[in-house]
Amino acid sequence: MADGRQKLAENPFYILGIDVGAARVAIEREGQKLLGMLELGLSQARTFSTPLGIFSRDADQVRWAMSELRDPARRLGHELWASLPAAPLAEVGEAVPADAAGWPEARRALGWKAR
Amino acid sequence: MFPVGAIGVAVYLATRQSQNGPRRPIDPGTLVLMITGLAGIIHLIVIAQRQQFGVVDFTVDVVLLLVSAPWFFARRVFIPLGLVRIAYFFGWLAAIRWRLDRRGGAALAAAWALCHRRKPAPALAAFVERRLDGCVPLRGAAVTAAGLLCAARGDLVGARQILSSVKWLSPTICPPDAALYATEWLAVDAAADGRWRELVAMEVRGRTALFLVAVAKRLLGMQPSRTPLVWHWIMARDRLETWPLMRRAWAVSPATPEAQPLEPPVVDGDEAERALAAHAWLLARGPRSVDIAAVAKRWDEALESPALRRRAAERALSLAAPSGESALQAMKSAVESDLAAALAGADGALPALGSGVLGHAVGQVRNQLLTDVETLSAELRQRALDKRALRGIDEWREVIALRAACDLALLRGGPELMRLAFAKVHPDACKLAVWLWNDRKERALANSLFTWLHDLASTVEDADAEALQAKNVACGAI
Repeated sequence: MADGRQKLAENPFYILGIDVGAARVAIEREGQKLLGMLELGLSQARTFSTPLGIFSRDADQVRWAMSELRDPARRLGHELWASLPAAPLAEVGEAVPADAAGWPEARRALGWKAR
Repeated sequence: MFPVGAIGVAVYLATRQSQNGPRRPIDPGTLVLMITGLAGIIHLIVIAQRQQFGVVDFTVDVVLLLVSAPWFFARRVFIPLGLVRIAYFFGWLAAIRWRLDRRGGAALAAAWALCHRRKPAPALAAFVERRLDGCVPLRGAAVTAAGLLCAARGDLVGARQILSSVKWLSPTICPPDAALYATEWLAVDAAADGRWRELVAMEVRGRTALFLVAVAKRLLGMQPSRTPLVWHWIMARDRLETWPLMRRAWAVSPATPEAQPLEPPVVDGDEAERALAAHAWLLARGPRSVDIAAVAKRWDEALESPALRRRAAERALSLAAPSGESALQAMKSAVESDLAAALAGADGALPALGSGVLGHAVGQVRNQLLTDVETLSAELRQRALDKRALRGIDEWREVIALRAACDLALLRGGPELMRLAFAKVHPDACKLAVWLWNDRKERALANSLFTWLHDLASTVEDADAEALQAKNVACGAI
């Protein structure tokens, strides 16, 4: 499940923040712009949005995304997975009811660990 | 000051004939009890004659008291203080309590004391490990001691595996106290981590564990009445320490319906977008919170939809990519892998084998379950063929791993999947068990394996294997 989550979250279209139908020129331009912003340390470039939430972004990811989208076969694969808008769809993580919290003092209190 | 009756009971226990064999020799623990009793009486007579009671008399009485009730003092003084070697000595003195496994019992006391050390003590851990190596053949108290040693070293996963396995050992070679302490540790461990459902499903013994189960039922909304909670709290020990937990369980509001897996959200868009939304939902919320079958159904609709195929073909042409069909195949494989991972992380039985992405995902999970069982089984067989012996506890850990894999295969795939695995497991595990019994004299471990294979043969309805293992089980564990 962790692999699937990573694969969807790190889709090149989400990393670059562009539409699946963007032209090659637009991809390169957006990529270079992000690299410049990251080099300047601008905060709006440090994160990107996906259906699984907000993730951090760095220069290596941007370069990887650009190289992935240069190859037609790999780009087609990524396009099929990036059909959803880049807005978080759900909170990540299973909902845990409040009463399921444990009793961390159990081992000490009941004689199975040093008090 | 010392009950003569205790001496009489000790003599009786030490000298009575066992049901299956010749007259047993007096074991050291019983002998010590007899001697201290006798010494106590003699000392009493001497004091009565002298009509005075000095410091020496007091010291002698204290020593006699310590030696006459060794487990009482080990449990309440030396173990909580983390005095490992002293706890070992007093555990050894308490031989009556450990029956046939006095060395294991002594190691149990030492390992328990090690758990109470505030700082890591590698030399003392090595001491306990050496004592465990001397427990040949391996029996119930030694297995419990090995579990507690893992816990003392911070390996809680290993401790859980080993202590959960104590119940598989025959009662003839597992002292009741060893089984009780193993169960209690597991219950306390589950309570510490908040694994309340697991706690409710445990077969527990002992007043503390029963109280924790009552708490778990209240917290999960399974027990509206507070009466069992209060009753078990009163009967348990350490009432002061458990008072905060008692209050928490008391205050829980009435039962809420158990959460059902959620249906994925419905989004506007074509079949592909709906399937992707469901998939993202599953990846975000996890397999226990989302209906995996519903997600798979959306993918079947999407992957068969003409709109998606047309879009893939058009984009492939536009991008000069090799083919839209290969991209769709890669997408389908990725979906099946993600669904397989989700099924592997879910609880309970797998859906039935079928068609579509769910059927393929189920097939992947079943194959993995079978592979895991067969790999472990083959390793056991090869080791038995090569006569590569391990320490008793390490043999037992390998058996635990195989049983865990088989239990998982049975839980997820049902008797039908287990029938496939049994054809491999039965001869391999039987080979190991026979070697353990005949050559290595590890009869307790062998008996547990035979018993398990017998039960498994019954589950998969293999009458020949069941009859064979019934004969092996009848050979006993001693």
